[in-house]
Amino acid sequence: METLLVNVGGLALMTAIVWWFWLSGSDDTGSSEHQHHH
Amino acid sequence: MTDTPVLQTTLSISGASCQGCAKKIRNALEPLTGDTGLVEVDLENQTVALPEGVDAAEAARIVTETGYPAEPFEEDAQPASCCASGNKSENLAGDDSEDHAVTEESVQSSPESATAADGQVHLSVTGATCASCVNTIEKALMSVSGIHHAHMNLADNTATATGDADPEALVKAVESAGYGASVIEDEDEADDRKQEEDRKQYRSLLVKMAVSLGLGLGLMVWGMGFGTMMVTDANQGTWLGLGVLTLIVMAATGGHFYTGAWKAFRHHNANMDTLIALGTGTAWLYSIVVASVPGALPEMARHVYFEASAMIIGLINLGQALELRAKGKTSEAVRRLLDLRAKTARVIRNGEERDIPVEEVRKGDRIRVRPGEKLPVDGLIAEGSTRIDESMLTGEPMPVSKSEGDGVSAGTLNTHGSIVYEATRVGSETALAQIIKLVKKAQGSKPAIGRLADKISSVFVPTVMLIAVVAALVWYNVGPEPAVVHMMVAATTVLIIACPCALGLATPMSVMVGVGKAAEYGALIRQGDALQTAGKLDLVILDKTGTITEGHPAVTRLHASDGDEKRLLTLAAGLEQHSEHPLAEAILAKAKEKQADPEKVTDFKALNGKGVQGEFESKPLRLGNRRWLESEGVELADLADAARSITEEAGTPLFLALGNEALGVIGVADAIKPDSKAAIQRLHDAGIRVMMVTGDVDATAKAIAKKAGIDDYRAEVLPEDKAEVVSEMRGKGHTVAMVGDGINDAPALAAADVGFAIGTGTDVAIESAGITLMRGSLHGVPDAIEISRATVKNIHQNLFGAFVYNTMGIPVAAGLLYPVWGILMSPILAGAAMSLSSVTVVSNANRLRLFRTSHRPERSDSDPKQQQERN
Repeated sequence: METLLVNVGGLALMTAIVWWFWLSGSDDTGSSEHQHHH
Repeated sequence: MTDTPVLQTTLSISGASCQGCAKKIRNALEPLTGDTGLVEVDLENQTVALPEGVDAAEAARIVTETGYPAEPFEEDAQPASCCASGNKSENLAGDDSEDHAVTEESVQSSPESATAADGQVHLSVTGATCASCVNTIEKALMSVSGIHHAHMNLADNTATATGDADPEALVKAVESAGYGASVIEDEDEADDRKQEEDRKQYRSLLVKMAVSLGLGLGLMVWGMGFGTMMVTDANQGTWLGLGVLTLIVMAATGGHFYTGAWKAFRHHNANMDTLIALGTGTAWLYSIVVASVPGALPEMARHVYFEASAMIIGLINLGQALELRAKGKTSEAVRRLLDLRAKTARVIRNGEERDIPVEEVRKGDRIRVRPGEKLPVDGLIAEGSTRIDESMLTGEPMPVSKSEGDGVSAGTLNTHGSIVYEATRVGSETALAQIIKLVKKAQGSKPAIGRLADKISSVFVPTVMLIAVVAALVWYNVGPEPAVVHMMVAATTVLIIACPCALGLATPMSVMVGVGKAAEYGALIRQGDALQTAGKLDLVILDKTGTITEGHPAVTRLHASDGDEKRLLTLAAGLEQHSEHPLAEAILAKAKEKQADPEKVTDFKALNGKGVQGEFESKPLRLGNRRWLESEGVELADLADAARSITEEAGTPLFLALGNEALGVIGVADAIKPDSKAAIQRLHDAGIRVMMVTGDVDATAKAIAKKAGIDDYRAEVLPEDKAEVVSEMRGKGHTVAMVGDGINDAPALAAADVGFAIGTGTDVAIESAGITLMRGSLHGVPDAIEISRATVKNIHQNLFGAFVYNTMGIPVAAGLLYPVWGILMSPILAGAAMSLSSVTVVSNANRLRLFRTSHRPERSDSDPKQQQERN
């Protein structure tokens, strides 16, 4: 039971990390740097 | 630029820095305007002028999409140049392009113009420590409406936002992202304030370090003294008390990590603070649970890690303190330039001389400078002559002779006579002020390699968090007992060791030192990209006139048919004294040198493409090229040998004839600069091919190429075709540098991978070049290339070190070595390693300060003189 809880908790935490930092963030993660073209 | 009245719609743009950019913009607007020729891109003022009737909003959208944030400029029916300079006119005193640097920067630093349509706001930012912070801050600034470009420089902790927004809103945005910010209004004041703040922060970090490390070490010693860090019934109360004490110390000495992490988290960001907060927080939480309810855990797992939390914070504070001190040293180049400024000026007003603060000097003021004094502003000498040490600006070691009418620059040292000069440029317009601003700007720019590091680190922190959870789960499921302890230790250690601060510092630190070093050698690097590319060059194309040669012709040979060279000169000078051609100057200079007084010649006429003609003793006197004289019936066969040897020596033969009698031939050549050959040899030594482009005829070009040791040349190339030669060589796969005097070579400079504008002192045209050489010497090119190579190498070392550290550190921290050798890294060691990695990166960048190029002229050391003056 404890093992199951810990593992499910860990997976939930990972999902939360992915969701919070990648999926739900409204701002784009790309660099806004101006590229110098020639 | 032409001020055509039909061009009425204007856009203000940003980020267009070269002819290539201008071309892109013109092409992008073609569908709207129907003809690229109708679009004028003014790189100097960052404006685009469009024909009447074009939808400005649509044009702005197109240009923005092309990569140059643009918006319509609110101004009526004014020519583009007026519009663009509308809010900057005070600084557009001179007409040379270098004023651009001042104009642009002064908009940035002036509070009134901070909200102008294309205004830039400079912010001083505190609390940013790593690449992720850079991303967070840039994103926060970009989120403010009206801002279309934001750039954060970690090396000097400043941020620049471009667009139309209230500076206070920008400060708030940065603050809500978890950092401190204030608007920089006065650059000088900001520099002083920053130094003071750095000193304060350094002391504060050291105190915090002492407190947290003291507690951590104390706990460790205490725990060992009692023989255990395990919680038992007997010591549970004590550990609980110590847990609370640790929490207080953590909050007091590492509070900034927790608030920073929380603020970043709220904005869906993660940075170095996040990792430290999570790592130390996990260790403390676990320990307090153990201390509160030891019974809930198996006996083996009742270990506390309070000392780890305290020590990690202590070590990271120590690392940041060391880093701060090393950062201060990297900006020394700029500080040295700032120190060149004179504080007062001796101004002559109404016939009265008095010392006034340099800020109060106005244009047109007459200023007296005595020997040993620094010049306070730029100007033209009105009285007296002297020798001026310009080494601080140009790197040129020998003092330069100056007399009435010559231009002088602020910050240079009057070594010899007393002079009076008239101020032409004051305050932020002086060459010195421009150089300081250019260097600062370039130091903050990121080369492509640095942008890559930023991108990586923006996804790095959340990835590390995932790895930490995975490591914890693996330890829990398949690790040995006590599994709970192992999973906690592994997760904490991964979080702590993975901080990307070294990664974030790797590039900006080296760029800052490299750009400063180049400035020391008189090479002003405008963009980080130029710094990176200069190291990869394999072909350098040199313009001839003014680059390889002196740029002003001189008489190299006199051959009189009757052997009377003096008579030849007196007659030629008699003709040429009426002419303003450079060749005439050369002949007159020679006549003066030989004390040959010019004869009186009447009826002077200059015949374009042929020569000059006058009348002497009732006969026509002609000086010109062979074809013309022969067509006039002059027999020149006897002079053919002399003429050939002149051509072979890269000179131009000018024949003189009185009536039909050939009097002789004068060789005029643009002499090769004394150090050109050595500089070209240095390029060869660096494995770079050297090519020359010139408008000269083949024979002359060949002779110069041979004399200067050039591999290849293109003769009879028109200025506008030079860019094509550059493009052709780039097309063949070369990484090409173009070196030119920056005015007629502008298109070629822009077309090259790196453009070097070569110019003496303040008369540089920097617009199209990535690198401007302040000295006339070609040695600046190999100098800049060597510095660039050293800097790029340094960046690579730093990035390699940072990547290796992280890629090796994380698996070790996760416990990958445990199955083989039974090694599991302690979180304390991870904290020390993390601090060490940033200190290593910063120290390695500082190593660049010791770099010397392969050519070092004997410098007249200006420091003792300055010292003397201060005393």
